[in-house]
Amino acid sequence: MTTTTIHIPTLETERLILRAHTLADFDAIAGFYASDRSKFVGGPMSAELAWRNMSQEAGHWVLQGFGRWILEEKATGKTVGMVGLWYPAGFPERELGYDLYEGATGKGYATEAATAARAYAYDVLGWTTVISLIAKDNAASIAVATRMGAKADGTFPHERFGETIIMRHPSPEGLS
Amino acid sequence: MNTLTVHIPTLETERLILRAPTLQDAESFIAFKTSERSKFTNGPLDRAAAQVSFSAIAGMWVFRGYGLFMAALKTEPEIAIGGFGIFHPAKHEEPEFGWSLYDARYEGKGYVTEAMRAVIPWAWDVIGVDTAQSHIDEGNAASAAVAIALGASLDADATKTANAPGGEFEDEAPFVNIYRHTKGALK
Repeated sequence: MTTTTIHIPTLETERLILRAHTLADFDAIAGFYASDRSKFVGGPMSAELAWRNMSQEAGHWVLQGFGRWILEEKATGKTVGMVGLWYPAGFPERELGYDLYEGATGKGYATEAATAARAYAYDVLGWTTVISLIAKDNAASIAVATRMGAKADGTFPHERFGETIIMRHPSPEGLS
Repeated sequence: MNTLTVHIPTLETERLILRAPTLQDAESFIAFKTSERSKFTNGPLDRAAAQVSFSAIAGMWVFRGYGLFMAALKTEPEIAIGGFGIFHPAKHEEPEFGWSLYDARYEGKGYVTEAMRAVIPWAWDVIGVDTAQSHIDEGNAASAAVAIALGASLDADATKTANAPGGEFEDEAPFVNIYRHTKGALK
């Protein structure tokens, strides 16, 4: 009997663990999508749609072999966000995306996790470029991309997120 | 470094291959989910929502270690004709044995029961589920007939509770009938 095998690695940074989604993360994810914090990524939305979104994120690993990770705060074990690499239908190219949940902002977590995810894209997956697609009014997220060295590289009208800015990250050579 | 490893087996029947969902299967699913054929399974959806739903189906394997297989004819291995397997979203206490045939041109050939006759023993014996339902909308006579053919029977008490205020289907219209599968009942 043949089997399809999917591996979801765990990454570790100074303060965070990046790991696969579990059912236990649902409350934190539903809380984010119920809140105004999700307004730049298609929310706020019902728990039903949040479940579909969370499942979609996990399914991305199955269908494409890469995806986003849950961010777990080492100090507390809490689920504080979702960061990683994805390329869902409707995106112009492969993306480095990051969401932080209530109470997790202002600590540099997005930059810390996204830097690890970008290194995984370049060093493990062999990507030569990656963008972050960010709603044009999402100043906090644009600031994270800028801090990571990304630069504006055009705009893209996203079906659900509205007008977005393409922030292109430095290439692997540009980082070294 | 820790890694979560998810195994999705391939099951084989006389005429079908049941395997992991792939990106290429999305179009068959989306065509189904955006059509009237999906009216008994929370459809039709718009294309973007159907796209998300397809990826969400694949994600269940990560959370549960089981999920829906995509079935293809051995003679047309690239074309997914339907989804068959164990469906178990967070809000449902019990796993569901589920089936959807995506395209009407595959109807009437016994593919659904053939696929489920491979899925059900795998669920009981390999995965080790200890209980299973099938949720079938009132009016979906074809699916009800499949459930009966597979040895399931209508669970009137569970159906009543689930559709009553506070039940898991209280917000759903039409009424959802719960068929119960029991180990050893597959005929």
